[in-house]
Amino acid sequence: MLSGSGIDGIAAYLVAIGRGATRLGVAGRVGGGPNRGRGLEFAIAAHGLQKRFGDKLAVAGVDLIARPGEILGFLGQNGAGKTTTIRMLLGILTPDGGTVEVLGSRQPLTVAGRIGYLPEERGLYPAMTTRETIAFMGALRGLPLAEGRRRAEALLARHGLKAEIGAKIRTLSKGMAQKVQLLGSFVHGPDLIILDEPFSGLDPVNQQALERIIAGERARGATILFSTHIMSHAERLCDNLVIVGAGRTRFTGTVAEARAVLPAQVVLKTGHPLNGPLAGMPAASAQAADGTYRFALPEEGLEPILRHLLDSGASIREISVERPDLHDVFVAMVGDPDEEDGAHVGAPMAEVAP
Amino acid sequence: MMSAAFLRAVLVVARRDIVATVMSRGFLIWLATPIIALAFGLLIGVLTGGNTAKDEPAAAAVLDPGGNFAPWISDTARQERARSRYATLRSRFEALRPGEDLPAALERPAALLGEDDLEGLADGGLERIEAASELGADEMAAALGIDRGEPVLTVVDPAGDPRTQAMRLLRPGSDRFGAVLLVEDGELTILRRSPSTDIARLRVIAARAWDRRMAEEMGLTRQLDALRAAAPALSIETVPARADAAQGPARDQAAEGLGTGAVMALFMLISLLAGALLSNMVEEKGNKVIEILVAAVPIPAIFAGKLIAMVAVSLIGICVWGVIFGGGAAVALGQLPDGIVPDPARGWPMFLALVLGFFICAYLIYGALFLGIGSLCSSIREVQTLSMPITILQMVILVMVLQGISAGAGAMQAALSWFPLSAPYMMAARAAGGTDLLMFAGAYLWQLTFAGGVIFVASRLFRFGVLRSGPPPTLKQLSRSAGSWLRRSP
Repeated sequence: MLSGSGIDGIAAYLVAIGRGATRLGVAGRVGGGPNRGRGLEFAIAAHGLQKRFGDKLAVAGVDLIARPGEILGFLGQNGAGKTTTIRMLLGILTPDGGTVEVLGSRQPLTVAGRIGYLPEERGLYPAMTTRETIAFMGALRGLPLAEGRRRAEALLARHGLKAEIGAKIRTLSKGMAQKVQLLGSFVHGPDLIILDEPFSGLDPVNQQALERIIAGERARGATILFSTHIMSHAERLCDNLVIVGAGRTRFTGTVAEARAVLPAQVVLKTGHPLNGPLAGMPAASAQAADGTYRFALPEEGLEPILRHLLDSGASIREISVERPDLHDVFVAMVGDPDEEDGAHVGAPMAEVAP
Repeated sequence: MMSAAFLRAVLVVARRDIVATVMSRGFLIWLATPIIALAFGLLIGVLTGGNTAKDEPAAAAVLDPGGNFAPWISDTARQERARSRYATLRSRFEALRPGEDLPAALERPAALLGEDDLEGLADGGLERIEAASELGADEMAAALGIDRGEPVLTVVDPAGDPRTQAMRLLRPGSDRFGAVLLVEDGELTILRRSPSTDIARLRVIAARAWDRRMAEEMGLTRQLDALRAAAPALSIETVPARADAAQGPARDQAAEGLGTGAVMALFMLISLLAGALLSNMVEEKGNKVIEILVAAVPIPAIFAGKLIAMVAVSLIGICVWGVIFGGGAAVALGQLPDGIVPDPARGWPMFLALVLGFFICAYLIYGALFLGIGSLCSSIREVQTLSMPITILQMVILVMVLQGISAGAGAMQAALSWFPLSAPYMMAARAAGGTDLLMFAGAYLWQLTFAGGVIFVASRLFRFGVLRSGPPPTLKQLSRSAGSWLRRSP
């Protein structure tokens, strides 16, 4: 939920959703070339998606646009409806309301061969070898098995798993198994890759490796949508973001636009308390014991404040302007993710359970 | 609509399941099931074989200090053995050649054979009849439980007090005799090792020997023989109760036996496969692979792939069993006398082909039902709870079909032949008889249509339940889901 003070400021930025919605009416056609998705205006265009499980409205109205060749971050708390939305985008679940168009098709399964998918709940056959697993995942998407095996060997070798080419999944570490599943999700060279919480459960080294893989697939020309609630990955990787809260889209735009949702903060440290001479200055949102003040940067900028402080002889020791990071924006838009995390521990499927 | 992509997806899923199943240890155990059953049967056979030996008439010693009765009982035992073997040959002929007239050599009932007849049989007559009637070797007949044993009697020379000698012969540790016939002062006493010792035949033989001796002493032997010879011929006929009795009661019996065998085989195979299918589904739900599958291919393709995989696995299993047991079974069947294994009305190839077809129908129907249930379950316990009604229903259907087979043609059989859950079993049973081929074609059409309907509904159920967590949906939720799906359908 948005904090009371942030609602008005953020609301102005939500017009982006409206822009996205109007574009849905002109969903494009499949194009040619190495990345057929490039001929489309949108790789994914979803509007007003809704899904109900029993009495619970899991997704109450999600709008989502992914342009060909971009990396789109899909952010939200646990239980915000990310996985359910992704399942609707893929055609696993049928929406109760709204429209979905993926790679130009309103029936996502008809273009399944051009989509790669890494589910949030990792699942592989423990008795299958890594090569067969990747080849099988490719075969499900239309890649001939022999070609899938050949590509699997190359992919495994390229991503540091050469020694595990013939190894059974049950013998791998969690990180290795996750990497195998990720490789399987794009072995067939898809135009669109959807990754649901790809970074969860990985150590920092593997997270970095995964970031490289995602960037590599984008460089190949694929459109990538990944869901996460780890803001640092989104900040580093994403061209655009969609933030959902309580089953509804709260924001769409670039990382910079997201960060601009919240006003910059002025941090001021003075030699003595600010009293009467500061009449007319913005109200400080926080005042630390050491004489540090934090307040929103006014629309007129910093100069009037500086002039006022200098004129009043406030003894400025330190003054800076801090831009909000994505974490702050996320928290402001959807609430405290830590609290939500705690509330949903051990119930990762809560989004789809009635 | 069956597009090439759909078929490809079906084959990818089926191939994965076939390889995974065939390469698993569980498949080896499944393959070994008949071997284990056979071994278990042999073990039971060995264990009960001991009991059978105990059930055999006890070997008996004859103690006759006076020496008057021993020759009579030895001769009578020889005659009775000949009479018993004659009776066995006669009943064997009636069992194996139903409807045929008895040959002249076997025409007379065993109970009416006279002294001369029995002497002739004991002096090589039996062997001649056996050779002429081609009723098979005695060993085979014994294995099939056709022959019955006669007690072996041994005349023991008297030594000291007869009763003490008898007790000595039966003392613990001495297994030679199970009973002793003691002849003293015009009285016959049978001493036996235990109350369970079978002395029935010994009593009969002793009584006959006594009668023969008395008849001889009284000069009545010839009269008694004449009395037996004058006995009227008695024939027994069974009135056929079946509507299709035109084919004869023998054909009816053969079809019933074969049909029952086919139904039992189908039931066992489908029970095994349905269990494997359920485990497979629960495993995939457990390890979350199912989401990869449903995101990539249509659910009916997953469904069809899994069903096809299990049919293929069962056919592989049948082939392996055929290779392992086929040769031995063929040799064993070749050893059997003609008529022991009945022939189906349309011959074995057609019968097997028809049964295979009904096996596939039954498997598709029940497999789809079980798969639909599996998609709603997230643990083995839930599977057991939800599959229980279907399993019970299957058992009820089996019992009713067996009833239908023995009841023969009639309303019950007709109803079971077309009620979709019993139809594959009932029609498989009828494949052994002379039912019209057009009816089989109609049955296939109906059963496959119904199977298609079950697969369709079960795949909706699968779609509804496969990615859920928590408890299975209630009937209300299912009906609501079905309603919304119907509203969406064009």
